[in-house]
Amino acid sequence: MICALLSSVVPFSIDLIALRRVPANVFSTLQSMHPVWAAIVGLVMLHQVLSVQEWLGIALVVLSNVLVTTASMRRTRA
Amino acid sequence: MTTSTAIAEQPTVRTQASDDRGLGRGIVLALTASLSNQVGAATGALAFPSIGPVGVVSIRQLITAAVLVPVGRPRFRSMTWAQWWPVLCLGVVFGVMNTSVYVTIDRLGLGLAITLEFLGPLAIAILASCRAIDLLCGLLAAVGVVVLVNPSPSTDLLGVGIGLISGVAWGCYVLLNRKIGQRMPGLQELVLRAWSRRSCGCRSQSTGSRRTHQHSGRSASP
Repeated sequence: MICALLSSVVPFSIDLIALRRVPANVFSTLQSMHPVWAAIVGLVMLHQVLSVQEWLGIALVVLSNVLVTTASMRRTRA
Repeated sequence: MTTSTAIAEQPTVRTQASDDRGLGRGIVLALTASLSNQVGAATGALAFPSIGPVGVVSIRQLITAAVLVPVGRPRFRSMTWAQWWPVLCLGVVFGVMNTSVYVTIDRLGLGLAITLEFLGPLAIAILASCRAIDLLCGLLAAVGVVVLVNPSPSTDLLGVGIGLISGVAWGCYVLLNRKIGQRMPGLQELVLRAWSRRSCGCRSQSTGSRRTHQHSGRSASP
């Protein structure tokens, strides 16, 4: 159970350090990896096999976030 | 997996200026953090059969607070009410977010649960921009959710609903975090978040948090 540390202390601290190095909008784009990692880790550690249609649904949500966050990045640069 | 990501990033990073090197490291760090988060959640999920999702969340929050409070040493006495209320709200939101997402992981699996939860911050990004193309992205995400959930008579609608609650909570969490970031410096905010979660919820799970809760009531009154 001490491994629950991995989902609180470690990511919070690393996120804070990362936020100092990466602009907020890049960070938002990187957050897209949450569902992807979740699907992969769920598969590897919990043997939760997703169907093709579930992968597709996750991909669409992630794509949406990438488009929204990179669009705002381009706008601030322009 | 983390090490291999770091190694893969290095060649591209080295050819760029030092600013970009910091950026590259930041990107690796952010990716590591999100991976760590999911590995942690999966580890927690392994304990569902023995103590259930709520038990996992309670223990997780206690450990977080126990580790972070000594590290950050928040100055409770010098905090103003304007600093307190967003922290307390954040504690509640954080509790709702974690409890609902772990219940969803239990019912629907890790991938689906985190994707539903992720809709919260995505909605904020879309609403913040108010541009037609971003609304189209919202539509894209909505299609994604329908494809993902694949509604049928056997769909666990309650599970999906709880997953969406965790999404709303993550959204609120992002907004509150911004507010607190403006009012409190650095790691202190992080520590308080874990701390107030411990004092707001899961008292039945622990005897040690009772004292903290009383302290919270006293300090929180203006």
